[in-house]
Amino acid sequence: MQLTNKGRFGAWLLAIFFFACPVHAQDRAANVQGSPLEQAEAAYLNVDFEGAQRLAQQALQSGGHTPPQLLRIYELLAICTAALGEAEVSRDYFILMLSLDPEAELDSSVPPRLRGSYFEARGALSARPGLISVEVGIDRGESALRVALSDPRSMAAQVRIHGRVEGAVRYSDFESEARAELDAPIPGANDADRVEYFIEVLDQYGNQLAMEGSPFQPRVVGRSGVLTTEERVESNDDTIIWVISAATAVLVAGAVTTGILVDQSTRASIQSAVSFGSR
Amino acid sequence: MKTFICFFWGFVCLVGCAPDPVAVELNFPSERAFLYADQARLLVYPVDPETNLDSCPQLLSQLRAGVDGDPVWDSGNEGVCTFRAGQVGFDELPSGPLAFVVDVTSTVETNGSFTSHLFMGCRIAEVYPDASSIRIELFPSVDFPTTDPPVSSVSAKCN
Repeated sequence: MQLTNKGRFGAWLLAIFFFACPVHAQDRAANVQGSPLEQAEAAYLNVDFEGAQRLAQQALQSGGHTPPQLLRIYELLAICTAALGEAEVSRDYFILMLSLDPEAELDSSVPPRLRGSYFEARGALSARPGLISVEVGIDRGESALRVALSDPRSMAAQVRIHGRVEGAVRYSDFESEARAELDAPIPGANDADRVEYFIEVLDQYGNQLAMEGSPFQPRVVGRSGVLTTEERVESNDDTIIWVISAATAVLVAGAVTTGILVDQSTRASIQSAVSFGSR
Repeated sequence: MKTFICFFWGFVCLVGCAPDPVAVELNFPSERAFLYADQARLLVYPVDPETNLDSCPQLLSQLRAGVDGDPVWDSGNEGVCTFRAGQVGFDELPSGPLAFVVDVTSTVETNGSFTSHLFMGCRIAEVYPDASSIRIELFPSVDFPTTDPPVSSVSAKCN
């Protein structure tokens, strides 16, 4: 059978359609399946609060989420429980969310009637902040990193400490139950000037509650000045404050100078003179 | 040193940007009249532009009676030569119309008195940057002394 040009073009279109459609179908299936968190997001967008809550809970328990993902899980749980009339549960989830990031704002799409628990949680946290933090130093006698963990709400279950002497390639990994003080042995730390590290604080499901540093951007502790995480933040804050102060000083000086110039240009002065006879 | 230089140039800029002062000119009837004068006093009063633009007669009358009122600036008694040298001035004048009142006194004996309001003058004007000079015509308020002036010329009086 001979096909005309028009017939050949139609056959190509049919073939493309035939092969392409299953691919799209598979993509859609994959999207719908996705991770529990993605499914929870999808259910939330469909205003299926019960489904979103169930899936967010499932996501929480599946573990392995980063702090921003975990924050979103708590937010979804809080909003859904608020929508389902469980105000106290919602407030507790919001407290957990704000414990991860005290400055976290609510999704702008959340209607006002669901925001009450959020404001209640903010009020509760302002009275008793619950931010997780760690302070790190070198225990040279033990050739270890000494980590002091602050966890006011007892959210942390595990701590993973990864450290290496500055310049080394591999990290030594150490994992322990969350305790107020931990010693993570680092080979060579007793003689090292500085030690690089990153720390993961995990909840009971293995989600990251906090992350200090990363494999590619580790924190540094050592002789050049031991900076705790808080000191590091304070140090950054100091720099920002100095920059802001300097900028403010320049602005004020500019404003004062402008004010003086404007004032001088609008305020006239007089000077005496004497003349004789009419002109 | 750098700080000093910065402040110096800042000062130069500020001073350089300041407008020239407005001359308040005391216009004597003649040079001979000036020779009788010893001291002058310039008072500046605020004037309400709605109701008080013709306040000069009242101000002159009360000053002659020894009532100063409530001036925004009073030069006090200064030598007329100080006025002539441009050494009397003021740089905090408010905006709006003002009454400039001048009272010139003399210690030359006049009608048996040694201190008198020899000349007086008043002018209502507004002072603003780059305004033209304010000329205050001075009029004799008493008879001139019959005696000759104590000096023969303005330069002899003021130098």
